[in-house]
Amino acid sequence: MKEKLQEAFRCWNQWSHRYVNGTKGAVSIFLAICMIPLLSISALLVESVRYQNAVELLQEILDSAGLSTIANYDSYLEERFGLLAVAQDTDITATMSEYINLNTNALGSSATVDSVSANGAYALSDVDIFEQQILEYAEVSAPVKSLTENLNISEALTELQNKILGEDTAKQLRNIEAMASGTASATEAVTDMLDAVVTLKDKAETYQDSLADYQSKYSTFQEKIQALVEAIKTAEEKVATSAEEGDAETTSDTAEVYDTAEVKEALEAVNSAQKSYKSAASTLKSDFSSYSSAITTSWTKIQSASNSVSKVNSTGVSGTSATVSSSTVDWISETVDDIVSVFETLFGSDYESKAAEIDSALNTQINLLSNSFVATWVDSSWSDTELTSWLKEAGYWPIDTSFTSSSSGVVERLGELASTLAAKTTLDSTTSLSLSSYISLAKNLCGLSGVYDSSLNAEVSSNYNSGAELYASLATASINSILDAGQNLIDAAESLATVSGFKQIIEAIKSVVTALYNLIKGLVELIAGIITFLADMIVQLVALVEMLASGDLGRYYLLAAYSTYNLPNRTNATSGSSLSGYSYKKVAQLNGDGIPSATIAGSLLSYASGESQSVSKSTFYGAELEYLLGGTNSEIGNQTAVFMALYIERFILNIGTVFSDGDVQLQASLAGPASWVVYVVLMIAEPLVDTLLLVNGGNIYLIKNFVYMTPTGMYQMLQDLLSCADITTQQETQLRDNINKAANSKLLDYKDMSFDGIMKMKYEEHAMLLLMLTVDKDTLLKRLQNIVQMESAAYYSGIGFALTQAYTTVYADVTFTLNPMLNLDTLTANGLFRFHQTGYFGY
Amino acid sequence: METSIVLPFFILVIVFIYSIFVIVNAQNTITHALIQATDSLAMDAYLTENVSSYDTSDITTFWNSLTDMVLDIARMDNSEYFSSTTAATSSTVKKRFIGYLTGGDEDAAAKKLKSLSIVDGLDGISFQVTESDGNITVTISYKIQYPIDVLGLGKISMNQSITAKKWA
Repeated sequence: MKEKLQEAFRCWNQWSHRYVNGTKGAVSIFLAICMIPLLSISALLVESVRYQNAVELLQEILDSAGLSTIANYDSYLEERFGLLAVAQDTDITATMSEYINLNTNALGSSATVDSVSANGAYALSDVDIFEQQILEYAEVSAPVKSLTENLNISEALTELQNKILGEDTAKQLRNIEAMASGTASATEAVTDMLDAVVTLKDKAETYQDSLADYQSKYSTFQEKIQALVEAIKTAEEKVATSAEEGDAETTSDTAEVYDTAEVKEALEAVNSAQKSYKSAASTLKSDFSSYSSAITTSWTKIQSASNSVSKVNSTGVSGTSATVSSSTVDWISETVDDIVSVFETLFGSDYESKAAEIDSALNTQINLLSNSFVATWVDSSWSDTELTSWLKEAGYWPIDTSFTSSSSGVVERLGELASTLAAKTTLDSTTSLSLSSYISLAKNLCGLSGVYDSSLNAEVSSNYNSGAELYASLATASINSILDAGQNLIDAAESLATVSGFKQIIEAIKSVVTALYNLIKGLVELIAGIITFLADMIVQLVALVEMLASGDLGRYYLLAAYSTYNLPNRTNATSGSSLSGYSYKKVAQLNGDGIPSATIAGSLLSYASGESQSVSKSTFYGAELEYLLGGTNSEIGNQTAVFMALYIERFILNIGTVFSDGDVQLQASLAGPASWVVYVVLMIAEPLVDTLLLVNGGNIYLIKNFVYMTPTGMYQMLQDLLSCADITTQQETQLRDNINKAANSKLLDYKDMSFDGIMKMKYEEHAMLLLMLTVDKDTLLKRLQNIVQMESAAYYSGIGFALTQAYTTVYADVTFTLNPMLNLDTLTANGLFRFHQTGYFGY
Repeated sequence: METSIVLPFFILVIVFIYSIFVIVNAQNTITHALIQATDSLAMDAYLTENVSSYDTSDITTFWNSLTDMVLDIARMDNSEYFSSTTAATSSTVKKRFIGYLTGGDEDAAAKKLKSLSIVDGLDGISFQVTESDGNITVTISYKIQYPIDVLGLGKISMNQSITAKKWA
């Protein structure tokens, strides 16, 4: 065994000496063999690590370049609106490329940039993007601002809900509208009724004249018959005397009597009188027919008026016992009742059948009178009584044309009726003065400046017209015509004290009724428009309250708060600033000239007369919040729209307070037919005062517990107006004068009265509520975009600005070539690996 | 004999391969910190000038967003921020660099840089910052120690700069 091993070892040594030559050069070869795979793998690993690192660093360089590109943000947008977008003079691709190329050098030659393309994306013209940026900007700033302004939007919505929905203001307005419409219909019916009464009196006068003539003609006829009787008697005596004397020529007693000249002459006279009598009877018949038709017409009109009055809904307002039109409706009812009473006395209830009988009797008589009178019908022996009896029996007696035993003196009775009505319609001078002063006061208020600030009179491009419901025409025309109608009513009612004569009195009463009709008609038109406004507002209010309950109100509130506190309005255009401190004066200066000075009062009257003058400008001067509400391209139009919208809001929220106020109820109850004037003037003037105070920088409670337009509140109203409104000395004098008269010169100690309410708010906060209640989110955002576009275009005039190019994100697409560690010129000139990366870089 | 020649050569190759990894790693780490520091410095002017603190003497300006409010409160104790009207200093850049390297711990940064074979560690890096045309450029210079240093030739000089646009 040992030998075999030694033999094997000896063979191995021989072989290795022969072929391997021992260990000479073995290590090198071994190294070479080992190094090839080792180096290969190592190089591979090194390259992969390099590439991996390069890729990561290139990603970071791309991010850095993206950040640098969007660092070119529009500083004006950011400062003015808090919005971030790439400045529009930035070449995005070139900028991105520049930074990528600069920073890729930090990697040495590890990578080469092949291509860079970068584009803007998600412009601010996209509503969702725009909204998101606004919400991010406003999420802290807006609530903090609201807090400092002491505005709790949740509480405001809750109070509105309680007031409008809880008290069912819509129903109250509908009740008032129904009452007003009913009263207007009743006044129309009363006017027709009075016209019929005037016609009836004319017919009655004609009838009475005809009747007198008829009776006179009968008397003549009867006298002639009596004369005939006498003539016959005389003739008979003559004949008898002749017979006694034996006159041979006398052959027939009777023939001789009726042939005598005297009898013939008397008969002729009778027939002539009969003819006249018949003519008078025919005239009487005709006039009586007209007279009875007039009675029928009058009764119809009376019935119609009575029905109209009964239909007037006198439902109370605000659950109180106060009824709106009790005095007026009572007056109308009494007027109708007085007329009915007189008519029943004069004509009775079955006058129509009586009229038919009379007409038939007259017809029969006329036929009778058509036949010639025969002398032999009468007997000479008749006494006057017998003759009268015969005449009655024969049908010649005058027909009794009276309807009732009291039918005589219709004309006089109607005259007395007119005087009775006038006495109930006349206003005493004190009440008249007080009511006139109310109206004058309301007109003074219409003359105060406030509907619009005429210095903010820019009219921008019609492209910014966002379609709006303007309420200017709703209120301006209505208010003026209503106040004029009210004054006409008072003047007409007062004039009755000096009017005389039936027709004049009735015409004067008709004037009162007509003025009342115009007053109420104007009110109905005004309320109809307000009900439409309220209906839309309620839908939105309900939605907002639901959002509040479910905690989703935040986004909507932030949009409204951003709009309110970041845009100028007419009350702060010269002195305010945005959430970021940007002065609103600079907004006006975008037009190049700043806010011009006001030349026109901007009152309700000046607007109604078309005095407003707009000038074409590139942007608004300062009524931008009003644009969000109004939506037109006219600054004055928008201010007016907001004024009216505020007016309507105050109208709605004041209704309950006005009708439940004790002073108001007392004033109305003393005004008789003019009680509507009191309520109407208050309904119109009270919200006007509130709105004027707001637009002139004052604060008004959201829900008031007092009424300005009462003797109690008027002096407080004057004080509040003087403290903030731009009132001239003349206007102040007029206001004081009318207040003294309206309050019957009773200066109540108003300083001890309580003038409080719920949530005192200023103009922009009321406007914010209106914004949430009347403008939907999409419309609001669209208008905000228009404002941004408008102002930015003006700021960048000459350079240009388009919201569609206000990019909030940059999209980059980059391709690199990863270079090897060892550059072998032609072999590795174009690297083996490409790296392609895209990215979005936004604010 | 042969082995005495081959073995060192073999070791050299291994060390060479190892050193490539070290250089790549060091470069990667430092470049990353440099890019982040530069970007951060570029944002400084915006944070300083546009993120308003609520000032009780003038309540007309407010934080512009929730993010602004958080940032503003977080920055209250740190005065190392510059505005668009004042230049950043080298020390600011250094501190920002350390912040992105090791979270602000200077000792840890020095240790880390030493482990990355940076000559003299943190002290061996020089920081320069220049501003022009609204850009901020941060340049750092340092040397990487090659494992095999013969006659002082084993130090590799590195010079890197990153440019970013200032948010001013």
